[in-house]
Amino acid sequence: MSLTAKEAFAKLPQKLHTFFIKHPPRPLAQYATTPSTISDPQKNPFLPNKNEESGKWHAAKYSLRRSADLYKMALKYGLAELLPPIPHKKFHEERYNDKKWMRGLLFQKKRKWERELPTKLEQRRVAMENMDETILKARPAYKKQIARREEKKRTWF
Amino acid sequence: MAAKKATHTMVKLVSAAKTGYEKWFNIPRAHSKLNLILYDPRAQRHCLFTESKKRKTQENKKKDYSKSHRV
Repeated sequence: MSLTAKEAFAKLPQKLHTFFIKHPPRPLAQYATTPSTISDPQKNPFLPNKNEESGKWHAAKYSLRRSADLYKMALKYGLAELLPPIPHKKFHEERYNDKKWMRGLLFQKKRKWERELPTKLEQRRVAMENMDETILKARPAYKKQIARREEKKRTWF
Repeated sequence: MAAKKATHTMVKLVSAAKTGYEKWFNIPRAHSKLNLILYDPRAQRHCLFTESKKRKTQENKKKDYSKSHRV
């Protein structure tokens, strides 16, 4: 024998049960995805809403902790889609996969020497490559040394 | 009275291979600019070493081979 909708609703945990009484589930009631006014019938209880007369903001009816608790409970019962949307939070796999990494972690500044190291090594490599030419500029007679080196070079293997 | 200038100076020669290898020499003050070919162990070959700091040197006057001074 299967439960009727009413019977199933009665069996829900206290928190979810009272929440759905105060804030009807999604297909029956619409909720805003952005903060709106306190007089708005579609205001989201998980988001702050503004009092347009005084210009002051009312805090969310459910704190981040309580809203997360409700969402996770609803997920367990497969009722997550029935809750009002929580656009500013991610849960479980979504939170792990679509993580927002810190900019400083992705584009590390590094220390000054670490930033300058590639150019330093490149300069060193170029200087080594052109060493014979630099010596020749200062000592034209170095040609003989170079010739002697080429003579002594091993060409067989 | 000002201090008398010493006869010799210490000069630092730096490798042109930019390895940071240096050599110091104690040379006569008026000596011309030094550039020597010495072994750089970090580059593992002989490299040109030039002075790192500017200093006053006695420029070698070119010999005058014209006979204009003769009477």
